[in-house]
Amino acid sequence: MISCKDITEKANDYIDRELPLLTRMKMKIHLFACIHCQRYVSQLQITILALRKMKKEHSVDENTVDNIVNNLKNYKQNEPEIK
Amino acid sequence: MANYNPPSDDELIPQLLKNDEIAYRQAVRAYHGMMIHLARSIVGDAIADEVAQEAWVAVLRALPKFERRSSLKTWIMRIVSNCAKSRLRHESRTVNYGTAIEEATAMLSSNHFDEHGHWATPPSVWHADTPEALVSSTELQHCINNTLDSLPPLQKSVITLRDIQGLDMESICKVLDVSESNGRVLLHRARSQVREAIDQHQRVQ
Ligand SMILES: [Zn+2]
Repeated sequence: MISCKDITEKANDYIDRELPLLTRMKMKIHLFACIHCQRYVSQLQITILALRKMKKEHSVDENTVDNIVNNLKNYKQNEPEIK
Repeated sequence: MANYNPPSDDELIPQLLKNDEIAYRQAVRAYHGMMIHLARSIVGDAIADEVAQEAWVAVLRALPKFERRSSLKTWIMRIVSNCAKSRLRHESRTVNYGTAIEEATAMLSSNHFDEHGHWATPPSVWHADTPEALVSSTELQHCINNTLDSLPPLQKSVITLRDIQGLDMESICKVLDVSESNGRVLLHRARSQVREAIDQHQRVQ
């Protein structure tokens, strides 16, 4: 029998659909009967979805772009020739 | 500017190789933000900028030898990851892979279970129980960010890249140079800790 503890250890792979079919079926059966594990899995899912909403935009301001590009140009000019 | 779409690798790489300034600018606009993010997740805020700068030089230097077995983006990210890790080594804050993976594999919060593997302290009922609710509460955002910051370097990198930045697992494992199965262990551990922190937070209220 699969225990509640096993469920929490496999929950992540379950959500990402990385489990073999048989394990997945066993988990489904356990989850059907166990409110605590249902709650655990759904909370893990909610957590992942919340993290996705925290995506930060990577806009880079033009000053930073200038700085880096100037650095790179300097580097290129002083780069020793590689044969 | 926020959703700046970079030119394709096929357009960008030849121009970069010709040291074309416009191409440099396009590449920096497209990838620098993500590079900073990744560097932060490994070395912390203080020196992330420096590491990213260093990585750009390394990118230019290595570009002629880039074999294009991955996208330019993944390749650049891998260089950032290497620069960041060598910086850690330099400061003798070495990321010990063995320990990092072991830590991650260790039973998580096994004190929640009795000796038969049944719940002793079951998950609490969350009053904020949708992703939207979690994100719109300032306190919970604080709680989540603090937890992310407190994760060991590799766990923090994996969860940031996977769940926040939305990269696929294969690229992430390439970038961080971990096996797929270790990558999954790190992700599992990191996500579980964030869930746990949210649970604790909602329990005390
Ligand atoms: Zn259960």
